[in-house]
Amino acid sequence: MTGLNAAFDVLLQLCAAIAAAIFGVTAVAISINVVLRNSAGTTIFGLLDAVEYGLLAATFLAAPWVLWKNAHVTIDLLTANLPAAGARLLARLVSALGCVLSATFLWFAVQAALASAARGSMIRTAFVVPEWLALSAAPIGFALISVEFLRQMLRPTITHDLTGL
Amino acid sequence: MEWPLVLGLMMGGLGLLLLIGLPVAFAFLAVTMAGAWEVLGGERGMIQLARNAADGLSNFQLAPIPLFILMGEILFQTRIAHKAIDAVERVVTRVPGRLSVVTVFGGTIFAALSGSTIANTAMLGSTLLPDMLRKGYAPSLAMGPIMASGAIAMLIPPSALAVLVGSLAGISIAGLLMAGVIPALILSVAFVLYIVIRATLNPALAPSDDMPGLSLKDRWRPFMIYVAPLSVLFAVVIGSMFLGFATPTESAALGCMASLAVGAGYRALTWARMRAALMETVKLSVMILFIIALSQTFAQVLSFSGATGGLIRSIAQYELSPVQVMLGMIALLLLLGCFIDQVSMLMVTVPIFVPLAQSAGIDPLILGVIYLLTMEIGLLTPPFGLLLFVMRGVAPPEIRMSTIYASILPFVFIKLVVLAAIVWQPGIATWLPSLVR
Repeated sequence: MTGLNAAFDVLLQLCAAIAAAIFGVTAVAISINVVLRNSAGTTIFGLLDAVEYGLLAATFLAAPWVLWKNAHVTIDLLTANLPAAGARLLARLVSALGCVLSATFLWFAVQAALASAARGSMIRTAFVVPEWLALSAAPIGFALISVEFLRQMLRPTITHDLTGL
Repeated sequence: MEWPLVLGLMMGGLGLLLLIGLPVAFAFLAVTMAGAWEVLGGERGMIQLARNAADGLSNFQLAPIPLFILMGEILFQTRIAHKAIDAVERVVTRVPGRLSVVTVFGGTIFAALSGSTIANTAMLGSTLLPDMLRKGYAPSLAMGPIMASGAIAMLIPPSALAVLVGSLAGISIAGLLMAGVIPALILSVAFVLYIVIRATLNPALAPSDDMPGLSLKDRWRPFMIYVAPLSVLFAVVIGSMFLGFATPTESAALGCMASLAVGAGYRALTWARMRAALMETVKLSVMILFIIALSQTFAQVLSFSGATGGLIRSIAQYELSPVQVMLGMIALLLLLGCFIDQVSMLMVTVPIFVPLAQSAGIDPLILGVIYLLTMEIGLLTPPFGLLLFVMRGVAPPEIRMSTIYASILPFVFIKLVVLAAIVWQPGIATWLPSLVR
């Protein structure tokens, strides 16, 4: 079980590293594009679409890691004022609720991707991409989120990062 | 189901779920799922919700959010910002409440380099607060300016939240980024005036602490090395947009590259720091983008249930003037800001406020600046303003939360005065963007 847990931790970190790479490459590619447009009158083909897909992929891939880091914004009006045992119990219940919500969303997100694949829907912008591919980002993210909520239900944490801008 | 019931259940349910500690994104997901099932047609509505989550993120306009955050993180992790604060401290001399004034200058400079109010406050708090307390500054003049000027990062570009407001409310992002500059500078000047007046009237609040024995060269050399070159970054971000050379997304990307260049110039770039900057960027950006993805359908449910239209018609019955409508919005945003986070404030109110502002004839840019300023105030208002807790984290343990609350109140009052001035004279915000319209 410990090995599985460790492997899942590594998987979440890998997903976050991919998201980090996406953001880094986006910054470099857009800058090159500005220089190309203003100096040579040309642009990188399909960059706008690639950036949009990058945002989609990065968000759903890294959201489970953000949950693992306890860094999704949480309002601890109540939890901060509960005794530790009560806060831990509430954290378990909240994680259970999160797991149910995520699993439910996962089910419908999979249905959306499957229905799109069955229709053969394509996204025709700079690239022609099967729509189910874009719709697969959410199910992948939510499958990992459901598992992470389950883990947090078993091992509740009652402290959160101060997250925000 | 009647729209008041839908509205009441969704808002009430959201409030309850937030109260028990469910992360904001999932609280939105829960009420939106229930609403989509009821209003958008059962399973069909749920599938629409899943599709909207993907569609909502495939939006180039959102790209400046991670890029502005990355720009600030590079400067923060390379500690260039910290050196800049030290340099500013050397050039501010012979001013009552000197270190508090340094705080405001430093906070404003870093606000122009980073969009993160938390990073700004934490940096100012960790570098200047120990010194101020050791020198006998009263907590009100030590902590208040740190939190107040830390929050300015929300107004001055690069501001990721300005991008979010513009994108969600359909307001020109470039215009909104520029609209925040003058109000932010007015705030900084007002803070300095307040500090100087308080410290002059009661010198015990801020004992004199001029740096002795420094030559003119010793004072200004660090400033020219560590602060002056940073103006390049501000010029790249604002200048490229102002001159029409780049879109907000492009100016954000150029800002990242300029930050890297500055970091390399100071030989402060290491793999470990770059990794830390990128991972912090992922944490903050994904936290925001994920809420956006999951709350896309929230506005749709409110609209389809008739809640948006019904509420606007109800308000229209009172035949309020645009200023009265604005004051109502501000009151609600300030109230929400005391209890919930900035992204939630936006998500809950944008579906109602944007059509309401349109019907009342309110300039979208003014609406955007009102959002930014009220969200900024929301970071500072007791009991749950986020920056109050950031300050709690960096302040010594003997400082009580009530002291932190008391220290911010005069600065919140100044921000309210500036907010009122913008409502009274919208040109304060709209003048700069009007130059490039």
